[in-house]
Amino acid sequence: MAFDGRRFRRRKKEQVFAEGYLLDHADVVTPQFNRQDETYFLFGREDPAVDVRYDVGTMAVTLKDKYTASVLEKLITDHDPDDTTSVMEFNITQTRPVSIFANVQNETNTAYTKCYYIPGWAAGIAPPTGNPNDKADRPFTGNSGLMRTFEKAWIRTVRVASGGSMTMSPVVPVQIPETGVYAVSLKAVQDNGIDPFDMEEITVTTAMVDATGAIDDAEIQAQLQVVTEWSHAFVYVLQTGSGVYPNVGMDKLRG
Amino acid sequence: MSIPVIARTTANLTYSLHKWVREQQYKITEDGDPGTLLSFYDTLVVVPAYPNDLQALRQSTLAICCPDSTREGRTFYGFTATEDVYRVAIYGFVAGFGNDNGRALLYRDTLMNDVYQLIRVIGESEGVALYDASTEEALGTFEFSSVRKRVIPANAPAIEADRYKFVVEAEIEYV
Repeated sequence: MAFDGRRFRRRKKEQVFAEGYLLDHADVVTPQFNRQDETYFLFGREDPAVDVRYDVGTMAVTLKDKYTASVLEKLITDHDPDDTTSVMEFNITQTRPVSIFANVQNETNTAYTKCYYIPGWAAGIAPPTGNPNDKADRPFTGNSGLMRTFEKAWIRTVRVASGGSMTMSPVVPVQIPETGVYAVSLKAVQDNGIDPFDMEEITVTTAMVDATGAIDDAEIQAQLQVVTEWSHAFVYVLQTGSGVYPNVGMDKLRG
Repeated sequence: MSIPVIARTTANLTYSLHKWVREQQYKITEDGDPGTLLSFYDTLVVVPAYPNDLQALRQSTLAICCPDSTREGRTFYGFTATEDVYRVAIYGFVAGFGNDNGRALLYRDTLMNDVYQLIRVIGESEGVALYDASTEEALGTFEFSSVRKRVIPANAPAIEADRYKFVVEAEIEYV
Protein backbone atom coordinates (compact mmCIF):
# COMPACT_ATOMS: atom_id res chain seq x y z
CA MET A 1 0.00 0.00 0.00
CA ALA A 2 1.44 3.37 -1.00
CA PHE A 3 2.09 5.99 1.65
CA ASP A 4 -0.74 8.50 1.98
CA GLY A 5 1.77 11.34 1.61
CA ARG A 6 2.59 10.29 -1.94
CA ARG A 7 -0.50 12.24 -3.00
CA PHE A 8 1.23 15.51 -2.28
CA ARG A 9 3.57 16.94 -4.87
CA ARG A 10 6.87 18.68 -4.23
CA ARG A 11 7.31 22.20 -5.51
CA LYS A 12 10.36 21.27 -7.54
CA LYS A 13 7.93 19.68 -9.98
CA GLU A 14 7.24 23.21 -11.24
CA GLN A 15 9.20 24.11 -14.36
CA VAL A 16 9.38 27.89 -14.31
CA PHE A 17 9.70 29.92 -17.51
CA ALA A 18 10.18 33.63 -18.19
CA GLU A 19 8.92 34.64 -21.65
CA GLY A 20 9.53 31.08 -22.85
CA TYR A 21 13.02 30.75 -21.35
CA LEU A 22 13.46 28.04 -18.71
CA LEU A 23 14.80 29.29 -15.37
CA ASP A 24 17.01 26.36 -14.42
CA HIS A 25 18.62 27.87 -11.30
CA ALA A 26 15.70 29.19 -9.25
CA ASP A 27 15.46 28.01 -5.65
CA VAL A 28 12.79 30.48 -4.50
CA VAL A 29 9.57 31.02 -6.45
CA THR A 30 6.86 32.72 -4.40
CA PRO A 31 3.79 34.14 -6.09
CA GLN A 32 1.38 35.98 -3.80
CA PHE A 33 -1.62 38.27 -3.83
CA ASN A 34 -2.04 41.63 -2.21
CA ARG A 35 -5.65 41.22 -1.18
CA GLN A 36 -8.18 43.10 0.91
CA ASP A 37 -10.77 41.27 2.99
CA GLU A 38 -14.07 43.12 3.06
CA THR A 39 -16.67 42.71 5.78
CA TYR A 40 -20.24 44.04 5.66
CA PHE A 41 -22.41 44.06 8.78
CA LEU A 42 -26.06 44.02 7.82
CA PHE A 43 -29.18 44.60 9.80
CA GLY A 44 -30.99 41.37 10.57
CA ARG A 45 -27.93 39.17 10.25
CA GLU A 46 -25.73 37.81 12.99
CA ASP A 47 -22.87 36.99 10.66
CA PRO A 48 -21.38 39.63 8.33
CA ALA A 49 -21.32 39.26 4.59
CA VAL A 50 -17.76 38.85 3.41
CA ASP A 51 -15.92 39.46 0.21
CA VAL A 52 -12.33 39.54 -0.92
CA ARG A 53 -10.74 41.99 -3.31
CA TYR A 54 -7.53 41.09 -5.11
CA ASP A 55 -5.64 44.29 -5.79
CA VAL A 56 -2.35 43.19 -7.27
CA GLY A 57 -0.10 40.18 -7.43
CA THR A 58 3.47 39.94 -6.21
CA MET A 59 6.22 37.58 -7.23
CA ALA A 60 9.60 36.70 -5.74
CA VAL A 61 12.12 34.61 -7.66
CA THR A 62 15.62 33.98 -6.35
CA LEU A 63 18.22 32.70 -8.78
CA LYS A 64 21.57 31.23 -7.83
CA ASP A 65 23.99 33.57 -9.58
CA LYS A 66 26.14 32.07 -12.33
CA TYR A 67 29.36 33.42 -13.75
CA THR A 68 27.30 34.88 -16.61
CA ALA A 69 24.16 37.01 -16.60
CA SER A 70 20.84 35.28 -16.11
CA VAL A 71 17.98 35.09 -18.57
CA LEU A 72 15.90 37.28 -16.26
CA GLU A 73 18.43 40.12 -16.14
CA LYS A 74 18.59 40.16 -19.92
CA LEU A 75 14.82 39.99 -20.44
CA ILE A 76 14.13 42.75 -17.93
CA THR A 77 16.56 45.07 -19.70
CA ASP A 78 15.56 44.22 -23.29
CA HIS A 79 18.69 42.20 -24.07
CA ASP A 80 18.63 38.93 -26.00
CA PRO A 81 19.09 36.06 -23.51
CA ASP A 82 20.77 33.96 -26.20
CA ASP A 83 23.44 36.61 -26.76
CA THR A 84 26.38 35.40 -24.70
CA THR A 85 29.15 37.39 -26.35
CA SER A 86 28.16 41.07 -26.42
CA VAL A 87 29.11 43.53 -23.72
CA MET A 88 25.90 44.60 -21.96
CA GLU A 89 24.78 47.13 -19.38
CA PHE A 90 21.75 46.25 -17.29
CA ASN A 91 20.47 49.77 -16.81
CA ILE A 92 18.06 50.20 -13.89
CA THR A 93 16.32 53.05 -15.71
CA GLN A 94 15.45 50.83 -18.67
CA THR A 95 13.61 47.86 -17.24
CA ARG A 96 10.31 46.33 -18.33
CA PRO A 97 7.90 43.79 -16.83
CA VAL A 98 8.13 40.16 -17.89
CA SER A 99 5.61 37.34 -17.83
CA ILE A 100 6.28 34.21 -15.80
CA PHE A 101 4.57 30.86 -16.02
CA ALA A 102 5.13 27.47 -14.46
CA ASN A 103 4.03 24.05 -15.70
CA VAL A 104 3.70 21.38 -13.02
CA GLN A 105 5.04 17.93 -13.89
CA ASN A 106 3.31 14.73 -12.89
CA GLU A 107 4.79 12.07 -10.62
CA THR A 108 6.82 10.44 -13.39
CA ASN A 109 7.83 13.69 -15.13
CA THR A 110 6.20 12.57 -18.36
CA ALA A 111 3.41 15.12 -18.60
CA TYR A 112 2.18 18.37 -17.13
CA THR A 113 -0.90 18.31 -14.91
CA LYS A 114 -1.53 22.01 -14.30
CA CYS A 115 0.04 25.42 -14.59
CA TYR A 116 -0.01 29.02 -13.43
CA TYR A 117 0.63 32.26 -15.28
CA ILE A 118 1.74 35.61 -13.90
CA PRO A 119 1.59 38.59 -16.25
CA GLY A 120 3.43 41.87 -16.05
CA TRP A 121 5.92 41.11 -13.28
CA ALA A 122 7.92 44.27 -12.56
CA ALA A 123 10.95 42.60 -11.05
CA GLY A 124 13.63 45.19 -11.64
CA ILE A 125 17.34 44.61 -11.14
CA ALA A 126 18.39 42.26 -8.32
CA PRO A 127 21.75 42.93 -6.64
CA PRO A 128 23.73 39.86 -5.50
CA THR A 129 23.42 38.79 -1.85
CA GLY A 130 25.28 36.36 0.38
CA ASN A 131 28.39 35.96 2.51
CA PRO A 132 31.83 35.48 0.91
CA ASN A 133 31.70 31.69 1.08
CA ASP A 134 28.09 31.39 0.00
CA LYS A 135 26.82 30.72 -3.48
CA ALA A 136 25.54 34.15 -4.54
CA ASP A 137 21.80 34.80 -4.72
CA ARG A 138 19.96 37.20 -7.01
CA PRO A 139 16.54 37.92 -5.44
CA PHE A 140 14.07 39.37 -7.95
CA THR A 141 10.89 40.74 -6.37
CA GLY A 142 8.09 43.02 -7.48
CA ASN A 143 4.41 43.57 -8.18
CA SER A 144 2.69 41.74 -10.99
CA GLY A 145 -0.69 41.12 -12.55
CA LEU A 146 -3.02 38.68 -10.86
CA MET A 147 -2.02 35.03 -11.19
CA ARG A 148 -4.13 32.75 -13.35
CA THR A 149 -4.11 29.02 -12.67
CA PHE A 150 -5.24 26.25 -14.98
CA GLU A 151 -6.02 22.61 -14.32
CA LYS A 152 -5.51 19.72 -16.79
CA ALA A 153 -3.66 22.08 -19.13
CA TRP A 154 -0.25 23.63 -19.49
CA ILE A 155 1.19 26.69 -21.17
CA ARG A 156 3.29 26.81 -24.31
CA THR A 157 4.74 29.91 -25.93
CA VAL A 158 4.65 30.39 -29.69
CA ARG A 159 6.43 33.08 -31.69
CA VAL A 160 4.85 33.88 -35.04
CA ALA A 161 6.18 36.32 -37.63
CA SER A 162 3.73 39.06 -38.54
CA GLY A 163 2.26 39.08 -42.01
CA GLY A 164 -0.75 38.16 -44.09
CA SER A 165 -1.49 34.62 -42.94
CA MET A 166 -0.25 34.17 -39.43
CA THR A 167 -0.65 30.73 -37.91
CA MET A 168 0.71 28.87 -34.93
CA SER A 169 0.50 25.57 -36.83
CA PRO A 170 1.38 22.84 -35.96
CA VAL A 171 0.54 24.08 -32.47
CA VAL A 172 -3.21 23.89 -31.87
CA PRO A 173 -4.41 26.05 -28.98
CA VAL A 174 -6.89 24.89 -26.36
CA GLN A 175 -9.74 27.23 -25.57
CA ILE A 176 -9.64 29.10 -22.27
CA PRO A 177 -12.70 27.77 -20.40
CA GLU A 178 -15.78 30.05 -20.34
CA THR A 179 -14.12 32.78 -22.39
CA GLY A 180 -14.22 31.74 -26.02
CA VAL A 181 -10.63 32.89 -26.60
CA TYR A 182 -7.73 30.71 -27.63
CA ALA A 183 -4.75 32.43 -26.03
CA VAL A 184 -3.87 33.26 -22.44
CA SER A 185 -1.82 36.24 -23.55
CA LEU A 186 -0.49 37.81 -26.73
CA LYS A 187 2.27 40.35 -27.17
CA ALA A 188 3.14 42.34 -30.25
CA VAL A 189 6.92 42.26 -30.48
CA GLN A 190 9.21 44.65 -32.33
CA ASP A 191 12.28 42.49 -32.90
CA ASN A 192 13.18 43.06 -36.53
CA GLY A 193 16.91 43.60 -36.08
CA ILE A 194 16.65 47.21 -37.23
CA ASP A 195 14.54 49.14 -34.73
CA PRO A 196 15.14 48.96 -30.96
CA PHE A 197 13.41 46.02 -29.29
CA ASP A 198 9.95 46.81 -27.95
CA MET A 199 6.89 44.88 -26.85
CA GLU A 200 3.21 45.57 -26.15
CA GLU A 201 0.62 43.42 -24.42
CA ILE A 202 -2.52 42.99 -26.53
CA THR A 203 -5.97 42.07 -25.23
CA VAL A 204 -6.85 38.73 -26.78
CA THR A 205 -10.23 38.70 -28.54
CA THR A 206 -12.27 35.86 -29.98
CA ALA A 207 -11.50 37.11 -33.47
CA MET A 208 -7.76 37.41 -32.89
CA VAL A 209 -6.87 33.74 -32.43
CA ASP A 210 -9.07 30.89 -33.64
CA ALA A 211 -9.30 27.19 -32.83
CA THR A 212 -6.89 26.21 -35.62
CA GLY A 213 -4.17 28.53 -34.34
CA ALA A 214 -4.62 31.15 -37.05
CA ILE A 215 -3.93 34.72 -35.93
CA ASP A 216 -5.64 37.80 -37.38
CA ASP A 217 -2.92 40.43 -37.63
CA ALA A 218 -5.45 43.18 -38.36
CA GLU A 219 -6.98 42.56 -34.93
CA ILE A 220 -3.54 43.02 -33.39
CA GLN A 221 -2.77 46.07 -35.50
CA ALA A 222 -6.00 47.72 -34.40
CA GLN A 223 -4.93 47.65 -30.74
CA LEU A 224 -1.33 48.80 -31.12
CA GLN A 225 -0.53 52.04 -29.32
CA VAL A 226 3.15 51.74 -28.43
CA VAL A 227 4.92 49.40 -30.82
CA THR A 228 5.28 50.92 -34.29
CA GLU A 229 7.20 48.30 -36.26
CA TRP A 230 5.95 45.03 -34.88
CA SER A 231 7.55 41.97 -36.41
CA HIS A 232 6.22 39.04 -34.35
CA ALA A 233 3.36 37.92 -32.19
CA PHE A 234 4.41 36.12 -29.02
CA VAL A 235 1.49 34.00 -27.86
CA TYR A 236 0.87 32.10 -24.64
CA VAL A 237 -1.52 29.23 -25.38
CA LEU A 238 -3.01 26.40 -23.36
CA GLN A 239 -2.14 22.85 -24.32
CA THR A 240 -3.16 19.38 -23.21
CA GLY A 241 -1.43 16.04 -23.66
CA SER A 242 1.81 14.40 -22.57
CA GLY A 243 5.42 15.47 -22.77
CA VAL A 244 7.53 17.90 -20.76
CA TYR A 245 10.25 20.40 -21.66
CA PRO A 246 12.67 20.01 -23.42
CA ASN A 247 10.87 17.29 -25.38
CA VAL A 248 7.98 19.73 -25.63
CA GLY A 249 9.17 22.75 -27.58
CA MET A 250 8.82 26.24 -26.16
CA ASP A 251 9.38 29.26 -28.41
CA LYS A 252 11.40 32.08 -26.89
CA LEU A 253 10.53 35.75 -26.91
CA ARG A 254 13.68 36.74 -28.81
CA GLY A 255 13.61 33.79 -31.23
CA MET B 1 7.98 5.68 -15.98
CA SER B 2 10.97 6.58 -18.15
CA ILE B 3 14.21 4.64 -17.52
CA PRO B 4 16.54 6.92 -15.51
CA VAL B 5 20.21 7.46 -16.25
CA ILE B 6 22.39 7.05 -13.16
CA ALA B 7 25.85 8.53 -12.92
CA ARG B 8 28.52 6.50 -11.14
CA THR B 9 29.37 9.44 -8.98
CA THR B 10 31.23 7.64 -6.21
CA ALA B 11 33.69 5.94 -8.54
CA ASN B 12 34.15 9.13 -10.58
CA LEU B 13 34.89 11.21 -7.48
CA THR B 14 37.34 8.69 -6.05
CA TYR B 15 39.20 8.40 -9.35
CA SER B 16 39.26 12.18 -9.87
CA LEU B 17 40.48 12.87 -6.34
CA HIS B 18 43.21 10.24 -6.61
CA LYS B 19 44.39 11.75 -9.88
CA TRP B 20 44.27 15.31 -8.51
CA VAL B 21 46.18 14.53 -5.33
CA ARG B 22 48.92 12.88 -7.38
CA GLU B 23 49.16 15.51 -10.12
CA GLN B 24 48.22 18.93 -8.69
CA GLN B 25 51.27 21.19 -8.66
CA TYR B 26 51.98 23.82 -6.04
CA LYS B 27 54.88 25.90 -4.73
CA ILE B 28 56.24 26.39 -1.23
CA THR B 29 57.63 29.88 -1.91
CA GLU B 30 56.79 32.46 -4.53
CA ASP B 31 60.00 31.91 -6.47
CA GLY B 32 60.34 28.22 -5.68
CA ASP B 33 60.00 25.39 -8.16
CA PRO B 34 56.54 23.87 -8.55
CA GLY B 35 56.06 20.27 -7.59
CA THR B 36 53.45 17.72 -6.61
CA LEU B 37 52.94 16.00 -3.30
CA LEU B 38 54.79 13.01 -4.75
CA SER B 39 57.79 15.18 -5.60
CA PHE B 40 57.89 17.18 -2.36
CA TYR B 41 57.55 13.94 -0.35
CA ASP B 42 59.63 11.48 -2.34
CA THR B 43 58.72 8.39 -0.34
CA LEU B 44 55.00 9.15 -0.38
CA VAL B 45 52.49 6.73 -1.89
CA VAL B 46 48.91 7.67 -2.80
CA VAL B 47 46.32 4.89 -2.76
CA PRO B 48 42.58 4.98 -3.58
CA ALA B 49 41.34 3.22 -0.45
CA TYR B 50 41.95 2.93 3.30
CA PRO B 51 44.79 0.42 3.86
CA ASN B 52 43.69 -3.04 4.91
CA ASP B 53 46.70 -3.55 7.18
CA LEU B 54 48.57 -0.60 8.73
CA GLN B 55 51.26 -2.92 9.95
CA ALA B 56 52.24 -3.66 6.36
CA LEU B 57 52.86 -0.02 5.48
CA ARG B 58 56.56 0.68 4.91
CA GLN B 59 56.19 4.08 3.23
CA SER B 60 54.18 7.14 4.09
CA THR B 61 50.78 6.85 2.50
CA LEU B 62 47.86 9.06 1.58
CA ALA B 63 44.63 7.08 1.33
CA ILE B 64 41.79 8.60 -0.71
CA CYS B 65 38.70 7.06 0.80
CA CYS B 66 35.42 6.46 -1.02
CA PRO B 67 33.25 9.57 -0.55
CA ASP B 68 30.28 9.30 1.80
CA SER B 69 26.99 10.85 0.73
CA THR B 70 25.90 13.02 3.64
CA ARG B 71 22.90 15.10 2.82
CA GLU B 72 20.79 16.61 0.15
CA GLY B 73 22.08 19.94 -1.03
CA ARG B 74 20.27 22.61 -2.98
CA THR B 75 17.16 21.79 -4.97
CA PHE B 76 15.89 23.83 -7.88
CA TYR B 77 12.47 24.32 -9.39
CA GLY B 78 11.77 22.15 -12.40
CA PHE B 79 14.35 19.47 -11.68
CA THR B 80 14.01 16.21 -9.86
CA ALA B 81 17.79 15.82 -9.69
CA THR B 82 19.06 17.39 -6.50
CA GLU B 83 22.48 18.40 -5.38
CA ASP B 84 24.21 15.76 -3.28
CA VAL B 85 26.76 16.71 -0.69
CA TYR B 86 29.59 14.20 -0.26
CA ARG B 87 32.11 14.00 2.54
CA VAL B 88 35.54 12.84 1.48
CA ALA B 89 38.33 11.82 3.83
CA ILE B 90 42.01 11.73 2.94
CA TYR B 91 43.89 9.74 5.58
CA GLY B 92 47.62 10.17 6.00
CA PHE B 93 50.00 7.61 7.50
CA VAL B 94 53.69 8.23 8.16
CA ALA B 95 56.06 5.31 8.04
CA GLY B 96 59.70 4.59 7.31
CA PHE B 97 61.26 6.72 10.10
CA GLY B 98 61.80 3.92 12.60
CA ASN B 99 62.34 5.41 16.07
CA ASP B 100 63.01 8.96 14.85
CA ASN B 101 59.92 10.44 16.48
CA GLY B 102 60.85 14.05 15.73
CA ARG B 103 61.26 13.62 12.00
CA ALA B 104 58.12 11.52 11.78
CA LEU B 105 56.09 14.18 13.58
CA LEU B 106 57.49 16.93 11.38
CA TYR B 107 56.77 14.90 8.25
CA ARG B 108 53.20 14.25 9.41
CA ASP B 109 52.46 17.86 10.29
CA THR B 110 53.96 19.20 7.07
CA LEU B 111 52.17 16.68 4.87
CA MET B 112 48.86 17.29 6.63
CA ASN B 113 49.29 21.03 6.16
CA ASP B 114 50.07 20.67 2.45
CA VAL B 115 47.04 18.47 1.75
CA TYR B 116 44.80 20.84 3.72
CA GLN B 117 46.14 23.94 1.99
CA LEU B 118 45.84 22.36 -1.46
CA ILE B 119 42.15 21.82 -0.85
CA ARG B 120 41.67 25.29 0.66
CA VAL B 121 43.61 27.25 -1.94
CA ILE B 122 42.82 25.34 -5.12
CA GLY B 123 40.01 22.92 -4.38
CA GLU B 124 37.69 25.54 -2.89
CA SER B 125 38.24 28.27 -5.46
CA GLU B 126 39.36 26.85 -8.80
CA GLY B 127 37.77 23.45 -8.43
CA VAL B 128 39.03 19.99 -9.25
CA ALA B 129 38.68 18.29 -12.64
CA LEU B 130 36.04 15.55 -12.65
CA TYR B 131 36.63 12.47 -14.80
CA ASP B 132 34.59 9.42 -15.73
CA ALA B 133 36.38 6.60 -13.92
CA SER B 134 35.73 4.05 -16.68
CA THR B 135 36.56 6.14 -19.76
CA GLU B 136 38.80 8.87 -18.23
CA GLU B 137 36.68 11.40 -20.12
CA ALA B 138 36.64 14.88 -18.59
CA LEU B 139 33.16 15.67 -17.26
CA GLY B 140 33.63 19.09 -15.68
CA THR B 141 34.78 20.26 -12.27
CA PHE B 142 33.67 20.04 -8.66
CA GLU B 143 34.38 22.23 -5.63
CA PHE B 144 35.39 21.50 -2.09
CA SER B 145 33.89 23.25 0.91
CA SER B 146 34.15 23.01 4.70
CA VAL B 147 37.64 21.50 4.77
CA ARG B 148 39.01 20.38 8.17
CA LYS B 149 42.17 18.61 9.31
CA ARG B 150 43.05 16.78 12.52
CA VAL B 151 45.63 14.47 13.97
CA ILE B 152 44.26 11.06 14.94
CA PRO B 153 45.57 9.74 18.28
CA ALA B 154 47.44 6.43 18.16
CA ASN B 155 45.28 3.37 18.63
CA ALA B 156 48.02 0.73 18.35
CA PRO B 157 51.31 2.47 19.20
CA ALA B 158 53.35 -0.57 18.27
CA ILE B 159 52.46 0.02 14.61
CA GLU B 160 54.53 2.90 13.19
CA ALA B 161 51.87 3.99 10.69
CA ASP B 162 49.27 4.12 13.43
CA ARG B 163 51.39 6.39 15.64
CA TYR B 164 51.55 9.18 13.07
CA LYS B 165 48.25 9.44 11.28
CA PHE B 166 45.95 12.29 10.36
CA VAL B 167 42.84 12.98 8.35
CA VAL B 168 41.80 15.85 6.12
CA GLU B 169 38.06 15.96 5.52
CA ALA B 170 36.08 18.11 3.14
CA GLU B 171 32.66 18.31 1.56
CA ILE B 172 31.99 18.15 -2.16
CA GLU B 173 28.80 19.57 -3.69
CA TYR B 174 27.78 17.59 -6.72
CA VAL B 175 24.71 17.68 -8.95
